[in-house]
Amino acid sequence: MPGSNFLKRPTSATAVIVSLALLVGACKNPFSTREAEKPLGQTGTWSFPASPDLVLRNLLFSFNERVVANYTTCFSSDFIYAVDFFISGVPDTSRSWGNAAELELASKLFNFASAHVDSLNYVLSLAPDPSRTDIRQDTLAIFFRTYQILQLRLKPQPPETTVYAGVATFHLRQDSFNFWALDRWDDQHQSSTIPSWGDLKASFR
Amino acid sequence: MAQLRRLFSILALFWLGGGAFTRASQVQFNFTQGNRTYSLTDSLLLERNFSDHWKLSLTNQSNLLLVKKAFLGGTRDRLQKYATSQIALGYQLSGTAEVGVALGREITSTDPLGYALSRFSGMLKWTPRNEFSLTTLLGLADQSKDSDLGKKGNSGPHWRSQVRWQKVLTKVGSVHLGASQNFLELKRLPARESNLSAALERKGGLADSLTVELHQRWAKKTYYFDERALSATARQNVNSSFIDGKLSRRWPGDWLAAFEYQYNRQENNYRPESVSDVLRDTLALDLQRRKNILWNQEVRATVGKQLKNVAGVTLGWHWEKGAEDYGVNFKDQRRETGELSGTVGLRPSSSDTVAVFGSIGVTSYFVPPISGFLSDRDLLNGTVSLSAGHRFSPYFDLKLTGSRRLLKQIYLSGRYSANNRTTDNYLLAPVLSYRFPGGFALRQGFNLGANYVTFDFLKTSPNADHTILRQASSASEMTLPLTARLAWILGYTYRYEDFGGLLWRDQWVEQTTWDRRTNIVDARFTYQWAKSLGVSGGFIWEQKFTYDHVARLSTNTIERIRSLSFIRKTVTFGLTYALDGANFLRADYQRRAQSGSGFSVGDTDWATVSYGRTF
Repeated sequence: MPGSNFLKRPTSATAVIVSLALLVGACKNPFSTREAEKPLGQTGTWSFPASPDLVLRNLLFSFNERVVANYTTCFSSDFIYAVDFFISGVPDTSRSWGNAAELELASKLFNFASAHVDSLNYVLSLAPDPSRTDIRQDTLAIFFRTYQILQLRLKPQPPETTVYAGVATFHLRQDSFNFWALDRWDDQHQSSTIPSWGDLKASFR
Repeated sequence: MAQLRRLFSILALFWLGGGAFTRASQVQFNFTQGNRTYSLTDSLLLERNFSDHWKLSLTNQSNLLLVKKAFLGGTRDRLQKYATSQIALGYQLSGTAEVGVALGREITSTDPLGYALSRFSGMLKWTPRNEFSLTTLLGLADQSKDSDLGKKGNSGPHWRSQVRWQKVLTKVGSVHLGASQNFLELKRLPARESNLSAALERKGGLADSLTVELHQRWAKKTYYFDERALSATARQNVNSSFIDGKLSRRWPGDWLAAFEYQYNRQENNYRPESVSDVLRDTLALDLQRRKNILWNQEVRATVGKQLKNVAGVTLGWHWEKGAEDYGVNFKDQRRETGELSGTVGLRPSSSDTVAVFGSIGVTSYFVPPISGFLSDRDLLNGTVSLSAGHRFSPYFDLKLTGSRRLLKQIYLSGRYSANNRTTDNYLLAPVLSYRFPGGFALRQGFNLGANYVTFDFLKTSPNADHTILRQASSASEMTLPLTARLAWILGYTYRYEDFGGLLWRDQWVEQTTWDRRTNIVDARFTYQWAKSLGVSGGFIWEQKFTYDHVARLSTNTIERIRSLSFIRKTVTFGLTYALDGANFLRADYQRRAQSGSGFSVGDTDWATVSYGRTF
């Protein structure tokens, strides 16, 4: 057979198989998980996301309570986050990212806030956008929400407040697990002079 | 608007000029209008040959979005613009050399913020041999930035070049080498980037191959640290490497094995160059970004065997490890993934097909102790799915899909572990299709699903935390060709869902909290007026009612109370003039009216016009 002289010696093939077997054995076990600590108490406010409204409720509470475990359930596996225009920060930062990046950014933000709990706080509020009508379909929904995040720095006297504000368009879909989850999140600045949620997220990239 | 007029003027001149369009030329426009939004996008590439030597090309991609009285019932409209365009004139000096000039402009803006970058370049392309090419551009660039604080400009030379060499070596295979650099020497915002790449491909036969790719990138870029400020700048240094090796091999017994290794590493260094008072705090928060290293490596191995045309089997293994090191503990993270997967395909007869897929994998995230392990977590994913098909006759067939998916989420910290849970999902979806000669068709599909959520640590009374969501639906569709030109498609969908806690009463029983019933009726038509002119339209009526199940202690009964209702009517109409898939003019209109309790109500109108042409 043409080309069969490629890695032709049986010893080479055996060596490759043995090496692979050793490699597989030495790497991550795909069946085992670690043991968790017993809960110290109730973990945040969370509802089974059986409707799109409950997803936004979970998003709101998980952000304000800094519970990344609950925040995670708000996003589908092929989730996309997209910002409208400029985003402060480093170059080569794209104006959209996916599920893994979103969860990593949330983890970093929540960990950062938890690590500075005495000096920093974030408070999120969501409200329907009066200028647009929500769209609900059988397994799809699009919600328009204005949002405001207050970043409170508690150490300076008087405490300093930074406002992040804008309009979020949440595209939700009922996934194959029958959960409702965010499929896409378009973030728009309220004005060009006020940073948006995307700016806050991007500062942790 | 001025830029739009400029674009159309250039376009008109281009259109009226002499010479023939090349086959690469194509144009697409799309305009959409909603109640408050107007969107115009275009993508065009026009290339004309005026003689054997002279060539003119125009490229443009733009997106304009106007939102009327944009936010919070505001009184101000907002216009967003993004556009990149270039017009280039080329002259073929000989069979191996081409020279030219190009004028390009990029714009990104939302009033009052805006960036614009213009470049004027001279170009040389030299291809002395098939395996070697050199392209270089040299010129001047001008960048301007608008913000609330005013306007600032930067200008300077730019130089871009690219060298490629590829060679087929009889004994080794083929080798590709490439190098490129891009220098943009703006006075306050210099940017330099260099790339090297190498690839080796070895083909041993139909199934035996070895491929190795190496990429290396160095970049230095000065940028505005804050989009709203005109003074604060910072510098980013990037050093990134990418290695990819693939090996595939046919083993004795006709087993086909493939192995792939990938390594990706990026190191970023940041240095603030000028800091305003306003940004001092922002920069202080951003110190962690001064240096970071991100890397990951992964290995994939698959083994497969095909048994004539009757059966096939594949086994796969995937391992991935990566880390993010920001030099500050709350952002650092490591992760590791291991996954096994397999597929079996069978074709027992010409009328039957069966395929089974299964996979199981765990991804672990590790974070430093300082963050309290709040994000230390494991995710276990498992899937088994089956798809089968049987053809009863040339007109009648059955397709069946079923799956079970398992998702287990474990947070290690006691602060988060209360919500550790396993989600177990079952799905069965048979579809029957009848297709009769003449275009008449019937399709009936069913969908049955159940979703169990069980918590690792019970929070309140025994069992009360476990939940189940059940859903079942039926979708019927009939395609009715009334004449050779006119066809109707009629559909009806019914869906039932309920949700509740799972209680143990010698067996698991559901304590329903709510149920929801959905009805959707739709009627659509297509009418082919002429060979290239078609009309389509439709009406969709949707009704959704949700009922809460409330316990009446006085009567010891469960009462269903309607909590949410939703009704929507949608009308659509479309007109298409299409010579083929790439040359068309299409107009669509949609009106939606929705009402109900617990939902925002209102009417929405959408109109879209699209045009596409390929030369």
